[in-house]
Amino acid sequence: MSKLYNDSFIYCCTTKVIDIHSIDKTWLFELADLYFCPYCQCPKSKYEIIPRVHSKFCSNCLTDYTSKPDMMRCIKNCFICPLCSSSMGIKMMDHDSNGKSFEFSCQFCDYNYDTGVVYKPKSLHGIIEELKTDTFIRKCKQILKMADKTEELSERVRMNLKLSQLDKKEEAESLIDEFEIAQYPIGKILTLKKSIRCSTCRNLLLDYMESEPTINKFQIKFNAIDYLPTTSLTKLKSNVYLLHFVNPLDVKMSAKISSISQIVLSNFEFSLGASTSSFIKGIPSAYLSLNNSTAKSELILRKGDKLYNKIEDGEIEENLDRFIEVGVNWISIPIIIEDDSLKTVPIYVTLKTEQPPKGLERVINGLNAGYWNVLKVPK
Amino acid sequence: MNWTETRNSNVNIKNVKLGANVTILDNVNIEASKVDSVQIGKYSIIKENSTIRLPSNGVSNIGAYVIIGNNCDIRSLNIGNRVMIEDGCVLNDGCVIYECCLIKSNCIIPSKMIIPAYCEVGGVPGKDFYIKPLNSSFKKVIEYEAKYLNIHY
Ligand SMILES: [Zn+2]
Ligand SMILES: [Zn+2]
Ligand SMILES: [Zn+2]
Repeated sequence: MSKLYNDSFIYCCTTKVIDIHSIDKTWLFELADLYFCPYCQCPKSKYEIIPRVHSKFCSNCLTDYTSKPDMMRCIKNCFICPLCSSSMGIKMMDHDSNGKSFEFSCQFCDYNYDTGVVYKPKSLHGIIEELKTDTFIRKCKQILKMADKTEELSERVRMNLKLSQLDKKEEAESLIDEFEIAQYPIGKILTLKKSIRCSTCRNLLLDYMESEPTINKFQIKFNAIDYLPTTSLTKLKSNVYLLHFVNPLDVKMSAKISSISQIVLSNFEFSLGASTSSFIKGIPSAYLSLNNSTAKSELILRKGDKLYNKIEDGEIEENLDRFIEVGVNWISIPIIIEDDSLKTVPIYVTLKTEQPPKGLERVINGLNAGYWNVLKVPK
Repeated sequence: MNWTETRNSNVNIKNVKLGANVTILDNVNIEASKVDSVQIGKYSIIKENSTIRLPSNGVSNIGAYVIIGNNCDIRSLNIGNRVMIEDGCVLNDGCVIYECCLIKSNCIIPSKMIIPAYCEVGGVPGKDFYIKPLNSSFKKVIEYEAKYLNIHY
């Protein structure tokens, strides 16, 4: 079983109710991409959170830029290629009368840049800034200057008018052709570490312990994968499938599911045991492979002689309940999908725990959540 | 203790320091010229037809719970723990991948590039290359995947 590639998606949108006959994919997320707000008791997507920059640094030289809110690029000697964003190698050469020149070469493509001989000591960024003299940059600087001065308004209005009248791509391109555009090495973009808040209740869903660039320890971490069960579908026989639920919590969970009319479910209400420290015990049998000796032993232990029993035609359909399998913290429920053209199965899941999961003792008395889970039908 | 598992005989693991429960599948080529010049941490898996070569400066370190997909060409200096590299990726000379990253299939990582922790990386430089933040869930998800693959092949 994979938590990474399981074709299972959660519908996560508090403003738009799901239309189960035409599901808007914008609001479908993999479980691993979602947060879980324990205060609101619902999954939260990237559109329902408030991120804030916690710290920022250059991944190349590890300089901490957290105290520089305006900087987005490294101002040290960390440059990237303007054409392909790869890092640039820099070679310095000495010349007569204390002159120096710098040669930048991209580690990936053919781009390179030579500063020529420089006599005044200056940062590499300063040197490049001074060398930006192509006509395009000059025009940009001129426009910027004009924006500051009201007396040159007429010229600014004239330029803006000219730009706004360009409605064809070719015209815009011909205007750009008038200029000579040069490419210069650019400072490396900084890496941001963000803390996350729930946009509804404003509580923190993710926060770091410290700002040390290379340390990634979390003080607060509410990820959906730690609270909501991992679900998936596997094919059993013709139009019979197994729907698997795995409980990630350290407490018992009871669940209720409902679905659309084209689906025949064997069971609508069930409970899932607390998660186990034994890795293999937490995997539904359908995901254990007979090709691996460890997995095969576990299968024999679970099923005994029945492991090699052949399922007769119609046997499952007649007695769905008999094919339900329950593990330590998981359940596999047979379902019949009557409509062959159905590509996805939406199920509504309601979860409840009598006790609060570990770490949430002070927040809630128990989990009480409901959401739509959309599963792709395997071929 | 189960030190390593290789599925066939044509994988040369001489000079490779392997952690517990490492899985190396068919036709993997590890070019380790000196003793311990390639180190692979526990529960890592290298899938079929992939190559591990030494970077021009030093040895190749591959962390724990690292999944290297089929047909990959790896010449990195360092790959942190819990990194998922999908099929057909090329990691060029001396690049560094920090912990918990997802490298999408057919991605090319340029020489000496440093990928910070918790990033998803995809595409080809100059064409559609991107680096974007990865949810912290992936630490658990990738570790789970590596442990699962260990009892799958
Ligand atoms: Zn830097
Ligand atoms: Zn380049
Ligand atoms: Zn909330």
